[in-house]
Amino acid sequence: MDPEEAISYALDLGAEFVEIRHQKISVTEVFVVNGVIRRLSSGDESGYSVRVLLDGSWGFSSGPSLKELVDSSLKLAKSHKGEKIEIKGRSFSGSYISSVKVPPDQVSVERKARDAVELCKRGMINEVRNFNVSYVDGAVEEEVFNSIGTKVRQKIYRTRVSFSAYAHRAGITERAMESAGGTRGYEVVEESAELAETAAKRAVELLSAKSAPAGKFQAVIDPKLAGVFVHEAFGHAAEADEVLAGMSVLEGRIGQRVGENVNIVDDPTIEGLYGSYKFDSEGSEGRRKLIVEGGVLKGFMHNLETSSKMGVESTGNGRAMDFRNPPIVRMSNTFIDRGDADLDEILRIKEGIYAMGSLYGYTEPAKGQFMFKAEEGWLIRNGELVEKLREVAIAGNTLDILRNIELVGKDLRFSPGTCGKDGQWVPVTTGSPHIRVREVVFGGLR
Amino acid sequence: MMEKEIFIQRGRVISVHAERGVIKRAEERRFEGAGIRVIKGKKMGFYFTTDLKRIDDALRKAEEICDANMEDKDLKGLPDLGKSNVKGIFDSKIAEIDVSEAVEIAKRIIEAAKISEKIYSISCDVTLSHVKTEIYGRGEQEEERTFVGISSYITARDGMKSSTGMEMNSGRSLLSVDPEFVGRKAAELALMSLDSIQIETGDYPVLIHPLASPNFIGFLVSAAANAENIQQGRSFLTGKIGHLMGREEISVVDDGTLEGGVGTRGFDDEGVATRRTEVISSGVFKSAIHNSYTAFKEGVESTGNATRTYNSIPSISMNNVLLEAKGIEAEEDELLSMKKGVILYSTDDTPNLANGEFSGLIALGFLVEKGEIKSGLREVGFGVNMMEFLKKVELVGKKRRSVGSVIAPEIRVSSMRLAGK
Repeated sequence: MDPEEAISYALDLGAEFVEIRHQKISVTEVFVVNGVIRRLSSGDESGYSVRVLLDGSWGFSSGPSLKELVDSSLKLAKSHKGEKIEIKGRSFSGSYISSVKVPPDQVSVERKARDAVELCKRGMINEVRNFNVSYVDGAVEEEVFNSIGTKVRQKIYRTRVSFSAYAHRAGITERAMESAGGTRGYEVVEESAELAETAAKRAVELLSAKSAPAGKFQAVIDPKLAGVFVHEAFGHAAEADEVLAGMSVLEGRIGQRVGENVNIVDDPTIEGLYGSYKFDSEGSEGRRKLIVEGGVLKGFMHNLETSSKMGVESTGNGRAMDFRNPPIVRMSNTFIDRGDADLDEILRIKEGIYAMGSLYGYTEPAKGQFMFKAEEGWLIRNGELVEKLREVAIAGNTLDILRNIELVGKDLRFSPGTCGKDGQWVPVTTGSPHIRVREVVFGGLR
Repeated sequence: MMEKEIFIQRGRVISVHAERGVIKRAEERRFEGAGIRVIKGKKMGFYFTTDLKRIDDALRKAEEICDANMEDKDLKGLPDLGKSNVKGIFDSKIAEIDVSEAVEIAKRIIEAAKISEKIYSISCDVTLSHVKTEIYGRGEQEEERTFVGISSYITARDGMKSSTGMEMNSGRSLLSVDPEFVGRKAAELALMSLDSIQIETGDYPVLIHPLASPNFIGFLVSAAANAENIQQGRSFLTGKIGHLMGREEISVVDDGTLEGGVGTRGFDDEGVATRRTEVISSGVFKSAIHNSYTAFKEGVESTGNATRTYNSIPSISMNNVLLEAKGIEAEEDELLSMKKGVILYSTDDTPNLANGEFSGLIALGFLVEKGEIKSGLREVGFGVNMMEFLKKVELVGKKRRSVGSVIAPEIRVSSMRLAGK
């Protein structure tokens, strides 16, 4: 049974919407600890997934055999009762291969192993007790067919290398991480030697950092932390499934002012970024969206289900981790767009904190609350960076931060990342220029 | 000489998810895949595939990767196979279950949660799996295991007040979960938390509920006593074998042979027989948990804690973790008898692996005054160092509860720093 026959078969048996995906994935991974290769592995996986809608209920199944999956999905859909919806949307067709300079499948495993070990050696400096290099490349070939008439095929390469350095001095351990990657090829590795050194130096520098003061401060947020903030605290609240589930502070706010001086974009079409794609996992073409323009909320991110429910067009944000999972609303490359301030001007404050990097955080999209732990920071006095700080925590209300943005820098920078939602992990990019915020609560838990 | 290992997993997972009291998704996944390890001297190669018809091809690729690899002086070959006699890890009812029965379980959770008009939103998950693991290459082993996990997440509202409650059950047989309890209890917790307060910053006695035990003793075994983390200097337990970590009544054990345990299995994912390992014995840190690589590096035996899926090389994790505390066990009344204390019911945080500092936020907690639960807690942070945690234990409950693969009592610690107003 081929995918088109499977769609007809499911429609004949009463399905209102049918989607068939097939994926072939190949992956190579190298993990080096202190100069020793601890993992050198490759593999390939393939499989189908079938999703059907019947009487408002979804059935989803995945596995190796298409006919079995159609039967199973129909049975799953019949096992429960949902709210009636009609999937409406445009159909797409076409094919796409991401363009890379050096396709990773044309680089030998020997070379990948050797290069990762060399990168690791660059990070093993004085007080760095432990330095890890993680290299992963993958090629995903995907075909999507659905009963609206979509028929697309794409092959996307992704390559990523990450460094983590653990420095020790007199019972203190500090960690710093750096990462580079994109829908790119092996060129990522060739460009990342300096980044390995940066991670190591930063971990060592942190050993002599002081604890951050607690309280309200004027703040400068670096592109890494501002990027993670806008993804976690704002981006998830702008996913239409969260809005429909009553879990978003942005519900009912389209057309309203949610911030000052700020444009927030989600754009999978930027070539080479980690979260880029031509077609989403539902086969809809990805496109650039201004979610916030001049501080005003313009719209949400959608897949076919949420766009059908809310009477708009899918924004091409329906993404699945792999063939074992159904597409749900996800971000791609999400960022605060560049402004016009220089970094010098941004840092020119009397007293404040410059928070940099991101360790972890939580958000409550329903209430708009967040807490993030930054990797490091500086105390600023009279425009000068006077004291290095470690583990700086920021907390507050997402919309308060957006409303308090005073300056947005010119220096838009992107970081690759992996975003988890409902147990599915997908590659994304976070990004931002430096921003200055009138007032941020520092300290949080301590 | 070449050693090889072919690890095959085949299985089926059914999952049902409900939101706002309505079934949103019913999913079925069937999978099969093989992971192949090849070792020649001090070099290893690994290749995985979902195409079981091409095992020979995958074996050849693993060998190519092995040849391309560099030597690792700590690599000392594959372990001997073994199998413990374990009971209660397979339930044919789960293996043969129809999705409609999983939907029924979800509906029972939802119905049981409708205990008040203030219950605003009911979410729940039901997961059922049946997996067969086979290991070939040095002899043959196979085992079939089943699993069931159910959980609920409930929001209550009353005017402007809003709160959440959660509950879960898991096991290896359908009989080990109670949908009515999971629905009702989460709803009760949400209602109890509607009136929640901030408390003054200070030191309080704290009763840690079993639901939070994976973040405390689960973490202690799975992450801190993980030999890989220790050998790499990532864990605060590096160099701490023989150190006193708790009072002498307390032992923390990893046991992969416990009847019916979520983490029970006859052999680990390298084919090593599971066993009982005293990680903390009479208060003293005695042993890490190992797979064969970390064990052989130290010249000890694997503890049977290798964990993997077919597409990954074995790492290390806990089997079943138990806290034993003979002589300081108490009934519920006595545990609650605090003049002014706190129940830490759940947290989303975990300790800092590097230094053992555990500072987090109480996700669900209650204030106790004169032995009675007074109100919920809001925005209360807590701080404790995991090297000191087991020294502060005053009493533990007589009853044990399994939360995933951690089997713990309620644990009362004499004092913890809590940050509130």
